[in-house]
Amino acid sequence: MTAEEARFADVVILRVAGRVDQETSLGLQEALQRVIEGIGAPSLVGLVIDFSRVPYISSAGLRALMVGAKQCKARGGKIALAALQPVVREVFQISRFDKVIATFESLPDALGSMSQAAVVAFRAGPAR
Amino acid sequence: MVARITLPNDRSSFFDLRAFAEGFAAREGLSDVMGNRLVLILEELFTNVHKFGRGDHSAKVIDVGLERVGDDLLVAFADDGGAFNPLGLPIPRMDRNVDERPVGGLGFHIVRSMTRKLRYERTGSWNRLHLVCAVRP
Repeated sequence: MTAEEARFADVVILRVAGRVDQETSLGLQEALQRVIEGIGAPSLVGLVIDFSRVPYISSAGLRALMVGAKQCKARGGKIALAALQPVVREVFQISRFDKVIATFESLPDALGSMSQAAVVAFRAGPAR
Repeated sequence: MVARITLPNDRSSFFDLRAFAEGFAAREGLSDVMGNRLVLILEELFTNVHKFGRGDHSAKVIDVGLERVGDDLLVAFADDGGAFNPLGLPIPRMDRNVDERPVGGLGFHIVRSMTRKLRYERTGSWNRLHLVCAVRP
């Protein structure tokens, strides 16, 4: 599992790739925490997690996301997930995780729920 | 044909269990999505035994059997730990928002939700779970 950050205006996209299971979920939790620690400053309002390259998540991964969602909310930030793949979507439905983290079909949709400036920056090209 | 694997109850067995499930899924021509469902069920059952234990008598061995019968996938999952029936676990409250929900407790709920039939028995020194999952695209 890998997780790479890219910033678009006042939102960070965390691009996750690979399986999120009991062996990799701690890595996701640490990556989320690194971004969330920056939330609260006026220039950073939220975090969008790109799950388009995540084919699998277990309850260990849900735990990491739950911790991240709680930390993000405690700092007054926004958090969202984009582009869930079939098994991940199924696990989210079973677990009612839509009550925990907002999910969107695409990255622009998720960014648009937080910041128009981020949408404009995303459409303009690579992260700066 | 029944595929079977017996593993020690230690962390590295997770990788062997996953490879076993992926190999079975490939041989049976299951879709990637169905293969991931199977791995997920086995991961959650393995975690339940390995991380959360069996009281004062931890399991030493885990034994898993897989068989496809038509559109059903039969999973037999056994451990030799102290008696524990996961079917008695409460269904987690999931109608709450992020502030009110606990961090964990979803693993066996996922298993329950992905299976059509689920039965537990204690035979000798073994906990045995018998699951039936529908093979889907």
